[in-house]
Amino acid sequence: MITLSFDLILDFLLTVLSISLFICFVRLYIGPNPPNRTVAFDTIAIHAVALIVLFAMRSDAPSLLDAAIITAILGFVGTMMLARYMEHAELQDWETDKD
Amino acid sequence: MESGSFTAGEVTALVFIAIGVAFMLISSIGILRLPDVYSRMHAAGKATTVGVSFVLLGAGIYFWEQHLFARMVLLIVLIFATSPIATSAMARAAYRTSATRRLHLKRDEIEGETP
Repeated sequence: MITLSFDLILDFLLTVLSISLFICFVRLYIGPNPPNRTVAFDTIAIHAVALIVLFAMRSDAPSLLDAAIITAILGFVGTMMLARYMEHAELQDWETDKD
Repeated sequence: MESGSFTAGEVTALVFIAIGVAFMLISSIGILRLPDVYSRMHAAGKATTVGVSFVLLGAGIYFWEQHLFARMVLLIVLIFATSPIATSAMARAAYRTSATRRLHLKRDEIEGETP
């Protein structure tokens, strides 16, 4: 008999969120060109924020929420950096995405 | 399966977090399955913002006694301010540089202009 506790439901939600993060990593791997990988990177950064918050709830450590704020800011800065790089890089020999 | 004892705050936090996690899972499936980079950006830019906002609201309700709800609202405001900027920058970079618009866009309203 399984007791449906708060921590068990939170573990289930963490598992679902990890599967979602893995799907984003699949998109990051198969590309097929840098704009798609940038979209995947942005989503991975948002997933990291949500995972840190859920882990702070799971382990009753409210000080980890500051780490979530820093992760959100760093994800935004990284996404902007990749976008500006793509704009000025003039890489014309990318593969087109036909899949 | 018997249910343990829950407080009202815990139940509310779990409901909010479940809604948010469902949004993020649907968003990830959209990023994997949709055909081109603009529709993937559509899935990433909308659903992920709403999903992480619901997760942060649930965490703020759970940490209500530690007076951390204001910090979560601050983080939601930060994400709502930065995510559209990042998405529009990505869309502009993808439109300017890649060849996908000639393959996928049937109607290009800003063709010839400099976006």
